[in-house]
Order: sequence, then structure tokens, then C-alpha cells
Amino acid sequence: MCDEMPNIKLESSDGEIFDVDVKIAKCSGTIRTMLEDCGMEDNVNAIVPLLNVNSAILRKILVWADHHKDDPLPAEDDENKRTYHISLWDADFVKVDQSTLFDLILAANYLDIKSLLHVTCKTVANMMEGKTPEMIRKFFNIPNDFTPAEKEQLGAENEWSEEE
Amino acid sequence: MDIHIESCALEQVFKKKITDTLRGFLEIIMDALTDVPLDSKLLPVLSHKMLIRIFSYLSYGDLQQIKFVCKDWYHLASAPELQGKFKLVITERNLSDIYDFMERRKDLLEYLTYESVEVNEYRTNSPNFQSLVKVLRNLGTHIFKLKLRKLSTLSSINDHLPNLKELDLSQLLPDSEQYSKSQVNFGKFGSLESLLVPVFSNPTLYQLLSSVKVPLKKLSVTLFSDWMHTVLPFLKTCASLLRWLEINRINADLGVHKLELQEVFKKFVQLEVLIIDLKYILTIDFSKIILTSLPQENSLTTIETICDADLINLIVRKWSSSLECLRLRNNGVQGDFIKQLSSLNGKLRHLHLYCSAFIHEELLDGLALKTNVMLTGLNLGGINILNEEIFHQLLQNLPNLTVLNLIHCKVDLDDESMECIFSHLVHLRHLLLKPCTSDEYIESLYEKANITNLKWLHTLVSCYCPIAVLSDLNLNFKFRELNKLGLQTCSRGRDGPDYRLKYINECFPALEELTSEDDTDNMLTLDEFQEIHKNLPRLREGFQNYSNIRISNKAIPNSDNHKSKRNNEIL
Repeated sequence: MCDEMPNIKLESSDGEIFDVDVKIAKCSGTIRTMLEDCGMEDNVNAIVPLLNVNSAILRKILVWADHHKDDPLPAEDDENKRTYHISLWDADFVKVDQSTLFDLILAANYLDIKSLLHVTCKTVANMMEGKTPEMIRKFFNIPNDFTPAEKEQLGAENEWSEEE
Repeated sequence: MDIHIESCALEQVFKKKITDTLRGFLEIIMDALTDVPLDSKLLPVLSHKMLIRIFSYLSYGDLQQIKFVCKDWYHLASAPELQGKFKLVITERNLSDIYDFMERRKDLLEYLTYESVEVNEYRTNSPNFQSLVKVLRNLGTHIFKLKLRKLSTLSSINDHLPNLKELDLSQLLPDSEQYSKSQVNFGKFGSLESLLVPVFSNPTLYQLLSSVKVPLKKLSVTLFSDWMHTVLPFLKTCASLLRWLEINRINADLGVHKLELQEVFKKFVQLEVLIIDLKYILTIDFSKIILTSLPQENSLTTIETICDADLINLIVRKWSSSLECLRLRNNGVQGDFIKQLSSLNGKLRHLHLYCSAFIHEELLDGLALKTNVMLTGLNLGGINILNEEIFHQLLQNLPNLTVLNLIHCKVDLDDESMECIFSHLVHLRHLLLKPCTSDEYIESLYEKANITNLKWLHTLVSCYCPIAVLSDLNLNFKFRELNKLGLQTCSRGRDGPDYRLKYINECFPALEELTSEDDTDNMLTLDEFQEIHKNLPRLREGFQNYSNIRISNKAIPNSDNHKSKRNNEIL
């Protein structure tokens, strides 16, 4: 193998083609498996279609992948997710509007990029921390569909439990 | 506000990316719109699976709030994946409410799928016994983990717990009558993996246990002379499959039983966690018999025992490759035994030392002569640290500590020590300190590194000083993840409760449990508590006995994932 990794082409859902270093593309478990399974690794001209990722999100994801290309592969899911750290660079990366953030979550899930999925999910979770239900509804624009009676019923049930 | 702050940075980004496409510009502008809720239905784009994944990052207190956002989320927050965070606690006070709820709202029964249930009965003959049995039978098939205080309750639901995996009888009421009357057939719990018995048990319980049919992975036992003839054969049948064993009390003539004990412990092959309870077992001979007999092929990750230098030598020799967590007590006044620990540097992740020794260099020699990046948890109980410089050097050499418990450590915690912790231990998640001993004005802390470096804290026990500084300096800093707070009064003190309320309201938006020292005039009053509660909806009652917080390594080792970090975070 020569030191220079070959490039491959990724096609976003809206048809834009991205020329990407294979090493960067392999941050995605989905692409990694695709390349290995189909023996496409040596085929420089192959175009990988990514049906669920538009060009704006793909561009962002490639920035992420480029920054993290030398990271070791993450271990299996950490049992205690609350302790997962977000680096400053990562925290900065996910400072985006909600719809982009959710698109990133969907793309990270589709492309199987565990570290990005961690960071994006944790970021959304952080937005919920320390807020009342009313504040959360407002923040995420979610309608309240509880009737007062239901709320009271379920509220009582809530008081019977404790932290495990 | 966020947009304004970002705009300066934005300018630089613009210059750098001037060649980017229009789309690139748009993206940068969008980036600046941090945390601004948009006017569309956004969250619904995420599947339920993704939402549950997001919820899994939340604490128990946050999940409780999440449930009341909408019906969809109520359902999702009750998903099996998140059930691990909840436990139904049935008390004599709420029993009738739960019973009525089940009777009246059969349509809502589907929400009551608690996997973990605890029953806090304290009367031998409760008038509501039938209601309790009915409630438990309703919940029966969901119950995976059960903690009870009466065997009679267990025998009434003996046929209704097909999925029970973990049974905790450690708090059984010490009422000998219940043992003789109760007929529990443990053989009916076909999924049982874990069983905890009370410290003050009864031989009848062990006779009942002979009905356990399935191989247990986790077990606690009590070794008393009078029933050794029942316990030891039982332990022997379990031995080859046990991964977790706690011996919670011994009262037996070890001379008589030595051979039998050796024979039993030679049978173990896959033990990972061995706890010889430090609270009750103070004789070292017993630990020596067990640890000598136990074959090396057991990959012990956690050992709790009383020890001396010889025993540490043995432990290091046999298990240095697998050990992650050690909890040791030593009754001597010399700290020499600590030096032996140096062979475990780079392997050990958690260390709990309890001894009354006067320590000089030994601590540094044993734990971190050079930088030790592996050790993440340290609890120094009872140790007299005489030399502050060594103490500071020790902290500097342990940069990856996530847990530091100095509640019982005999060291002067002055401003320099606090600065040392705040500037070097930036990964801390649980920090438990004694009240500071500084007699200088609090202004002396203004210049020093402050606690904002520890932004990941989940638990903090300290005096008011580090928090007061944040407020005095107007740093507007929030511990977004901190949910357990214990406050103590130090000699420096602060006047008036207004300050305290202000600090707590300002700094701890995610607070769930608050304890304030209750043996001084400075404790928080009920009114203050209620005032705080208005602003901090997650707040529940205080966490008890924070000085006794220790590793809760109670999880059953998971056979699929041996080396995974277990629930042993707090020392």
C-alpha cells in the first residue's frame, strides 16, 4: 500500500458529488462496511450514493470526519452516558440551529458515526437539562396534549418512584 | 444574546472562508443561531428510537420532567431502555394510593411497568397486606429487580415473579418468626441471578435457599458458626459460576472451618468481584484464607478487604493484570503497606484506602511517584496526611481523577489545597471535601484558580467558599450537570441565608439532591428549602450520609462485556 490514500466519491441526496479521502470517509461505519463488503476499496471511480444525507449536512459531516480521522475507534456504548465528555471543538461544531442538529443526528445514525451521534444526542439532552416541562415545550415547540386530569393522575404515579 | 457573542468570531470565520460558496455562508450564519428555537415542528423528525437515545443521556430528575412534556414523551420516557433509571418504592404511606390507582384506572396500567420495585414495610402485621400482595401481583411479570423486608410478602407472590433476576433481602426485618413461618420456594424464580441476604440472618433462610435451582452470578452471604453446615455447601454449589461475592459478616471459629473454607474457595473459577465487608469483618486471617485459596484464574477486578503488606503482596502477585478497583483497610499506624501498591500503577482505576496511619512519602510512592493517568477514583478515608506539599504533588500527579473523596481524610484543606484541586483535577465529576480550614478572608480566594474549572461536576460536597467566590466575582457560571450538592459550614462562614439561596439558585440549575450540614445554626431551614425548590424543579430530598458514599459496585458483571466500566463511579 502506498502512503497516499485514494479518494472516493460520495453523492448526496440532492446529487452533489464530493471527492473524499477514503480515510475520512471511513469514519462512517456504513461506508466502511460498504467499501469492505463490496471490495470497492481499490476502485477509485466508485460513487457511493448517500440517499438520506443532503449536501449541506454531508459537507458538515466531512468537516467532522476530517477533524476526527485519526481518533481511535470508539469502544462499545459507554454504560454511563451521562459521563461522556464533549471536547471544545466538538461543542463548537454542534452549535447549530435545531433543524441542522436533528439532521446531523439522523445522518450520524444513518452513516453510523458513533462519536458524532454521541455528541449530537448529548447536546440535545443538554438542552433539556434543568428545564421545566413548560420550558421544554416552548423550546422545542411541542404542543401540550395532556388534559389537567391526566396530568394529575400521572403526576401522582410519578411520585412513587425513586432514582435507581 | 448568543448571536451577538458569536458575531465577532463570525467575522473572522467570514474572512477565512471568503472563497466558500454561498451555501457555506448560509451555513455559517445558521451556525450562529445557537439554541434559538425555530418556529416549526422539529423534534418529530426524530424517530422514537432516537428520542429514547437522547433521553438516555438524562438524569433521573430530568426524565421525571420530560414525562410531562407530552403524551408521546410520557410513553417514551417509560421505555424499557430507560427503566434502569427508575425504581418503584412502595411504602405504607403510598400503598393505598397505588392500590386505588390500579383499581380505578385500569386503562393506565400499561404505564406501570416498573422493572425495579422496593417494598419498605416495617410492621410485621400490616393491615394493608392484601393490597400490597395485589399490587405486587399486578406488577409481577415486569419485575426484574425486587427488594423486600418480609419473607411472608415474598411467599405470597412466589408464583408471580417469573422474570425476577435480582432479589435483595439485605434489609429483611430481624424477626425470627417470619423465617420459620414463611415457605418460599426459590426454585420458582427461574431467572434468578442475584441474591443478597441480610447481615443479621438466620439459619432458616439458608435452609430455604437450598431450593435455589438456577446458577447464581451474584451472592452475598453471612458466615456464622451455627449455620456453617448449611452455608458452606450452598456456597460450594454456587462457586463455579459466581462472578460477584460479598461476605458481609463472619462470626465463626476459623480454626475449625479452615479446611472447608479452603476447599470451597478453590472451586471458584470466574469470580470478578470479591467483597469482604470492611464494616463488619476486621479479622485479617479470614481474608488470608480466602485470597490464598482462590485460584489465580479468577480475573478479579474488584477486591475489598482488610489487609497488611503481605496480603497486598499476594493480591498484586495473583491479580495485578485484572485488578481495577481496590478497597483496603489497614489497622496499623504505619503507612508502609501503601508502597506495595506501586506495582499496580497504570492498572488500578479506583482506590479506597481506609486506615488511621500517619502518611508521609508513602502515599506518593505507592500511588503516583510519576504521573498516573490510569487512576480515576480516589478515596482517602481516615488517613493523616502530614505533609501538604506531598498532598499537592499527589493531586498534580493524578490528572485524570473523576472521583475524589476527602471527607474522612485528615488533611488541612486550606486555600492552596483547594486551588490545587481546582486547577489540576479538571476531569472531576464527584468531589467530596471537608469544610476548608482557611482562616484568611475569602478575598484571598479571588486570585486563585476557581471551581469553574470543574465544569463536569455531578456531585459536590464542600463548604460554601468555592461557590461564594463565583457569586462574589459575578462569574455567572452554571454547573449544568451537577445534581447532588452537599453544603457544609466552615470557620470562614458567611452571614445570612440570602447568600446561600442566591448561590444555589444561580449555579445549580440541574440540582436534584441537596443536603446541608444539620448540626450548626447555619443549616438551611425548611422555608429556604421550599424557596429553592421553586426555582429548581428537580430538587428532591437531600441525599443521606454523603460522608459514607462509597463505590456501589453492585451491578452483576455482564458476561458479554467483561471489561466494561461498571457502576463503580463513586468512591
